[in-house]
Amino acid sequence: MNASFIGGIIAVVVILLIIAVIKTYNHMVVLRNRVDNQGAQIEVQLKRRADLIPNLLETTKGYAHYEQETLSKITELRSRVLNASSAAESFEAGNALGREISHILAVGEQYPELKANQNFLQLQSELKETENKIVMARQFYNDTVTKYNTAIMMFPRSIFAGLFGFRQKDLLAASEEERQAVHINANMFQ
Amino acid sequence: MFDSNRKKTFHSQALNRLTVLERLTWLIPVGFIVREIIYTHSEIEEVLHDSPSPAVIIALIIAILFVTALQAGFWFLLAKVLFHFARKQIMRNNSFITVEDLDYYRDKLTGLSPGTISLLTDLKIEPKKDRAACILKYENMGILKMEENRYIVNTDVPEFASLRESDRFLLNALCNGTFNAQKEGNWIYMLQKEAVADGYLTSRLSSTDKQKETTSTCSRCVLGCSAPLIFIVIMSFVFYAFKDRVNAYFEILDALPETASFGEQTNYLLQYPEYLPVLAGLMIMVLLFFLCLIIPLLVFVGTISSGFTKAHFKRTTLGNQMTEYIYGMKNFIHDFSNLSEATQNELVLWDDYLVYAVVLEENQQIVNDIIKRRKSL
Repeated sequence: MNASFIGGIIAVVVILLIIAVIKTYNHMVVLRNRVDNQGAQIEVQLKRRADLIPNLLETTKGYAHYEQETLSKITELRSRVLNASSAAESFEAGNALGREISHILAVGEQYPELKANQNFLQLQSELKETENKIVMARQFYNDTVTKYNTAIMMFPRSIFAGLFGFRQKDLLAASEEERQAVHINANMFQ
Repeated sequence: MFDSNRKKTFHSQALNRLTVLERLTWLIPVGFIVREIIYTHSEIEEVLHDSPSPAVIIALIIAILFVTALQAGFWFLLAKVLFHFARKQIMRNNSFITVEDLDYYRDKLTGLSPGTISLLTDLKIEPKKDRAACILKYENMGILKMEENRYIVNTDVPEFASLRESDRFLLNALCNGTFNAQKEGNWIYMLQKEAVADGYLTSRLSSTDKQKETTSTCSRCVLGCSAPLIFIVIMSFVFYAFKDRVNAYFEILDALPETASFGEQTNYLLQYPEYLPVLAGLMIMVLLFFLCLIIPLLVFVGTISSGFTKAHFKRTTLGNQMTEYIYGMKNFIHDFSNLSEATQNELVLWDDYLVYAVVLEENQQIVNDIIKRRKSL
């Protein structure tokens, strides 16, 4: 009787452990899927912004003359965003494209006739709105990554995370150019 | 084809609190059982010391439960009814009919003020939380700021012209430091009026709603009055079924010596198994009599409890649609952000989403900070 009693207790403990492992695994899967989902939301906004490029170039080309190199770069970046095979590639191309769009809009500010153009104003508004959505999407992405990384690093989940192949994900940080751009703008007002 | 009668519910802090309280009512009978065991531990030890049969142990357990039911029953049922009906009513307030079956909503809730959002979630205003959300919104718009320990309103901001009567009223009270209980009531009334005017809510005072409420209250009263009658009928049947054997049963009980222990008493009664149904019937009659006395009181308490938490408004079709977006926004903030830990300084980063986090009870810390700041003014 003692042996069967101990056996029964061991069986109960093993069953409880299995249930705990399953729940932990499922929770980590949910967190990882949320990270992927939010990453996809950023890509959606980047693609939406890329879709506005042809109309923007068409509206501004009658007023400003862009160098062929600039136009080629924008076309290439747009193509990379729309055809990106991974989120990282999409983010990188999206960041670069965002900087080029800023240059185009800055050029547009120099032409009063262009600034009064309704199409240009609407595009400017849509780009601004899309830019805000990209910023918010990135912030939410970083928060979901933080939650996921925290969950898989905490004990005892960290044990199962390693066993089941859950790896930490990188946060979206500002690129070196973006940090330098802020620095330059700050110097202008000294 | 999507079922348009499907409902979802906001699990607000008030609802969660009542759910916890309702579950904690089970501590009442548990506490009484523990108390009973402590008071009678010497008798229990005596019974168990004599290596009793399973029948004696079962009889002991039944006896403890029966005594507990009589002692704790009233308090347990009273607390249970109080919290249960209040929770049910709040659940009704917090439930809305879904149309698009959204789990998440990511776009901003343009056109909805914090007060309207709060009303659409649970049909009532929580003054501290909603005032904090409004203050956050005004600071985000650049209309309100704190300088030298007082609030200053900037009327040059373009958005100032779009402020509603309730916003201007609140801003005026904040700047003057005159936001007292009466002004709070006026502010709430304005928010409700605006939500009705916008088409999100409608009053429950229509004749159809009054009729439904009257019917519901009457049904409850009829139940409260008829339940004791039904119990009396059941008791009569039980008594009629056993009336021939009750006297014989009491004669058997009288033959028991007074000094007999619980185990001896149980073993003695088990010699007459044909009388066990009589004992069970007597116990049922005692419990039913006890219920006859308290059920009308419980129905009365339930009606009052439900009435206190009933809302005076209900959502329109448009209101249900907006509430679904709000529900999706709450889920999105909860699952996809750490806004529950954000501070007021992060308003410039999170924009309207921080306001939503406060009004949807995802961030309590900012509410506490704003209350503290107001108290220091």
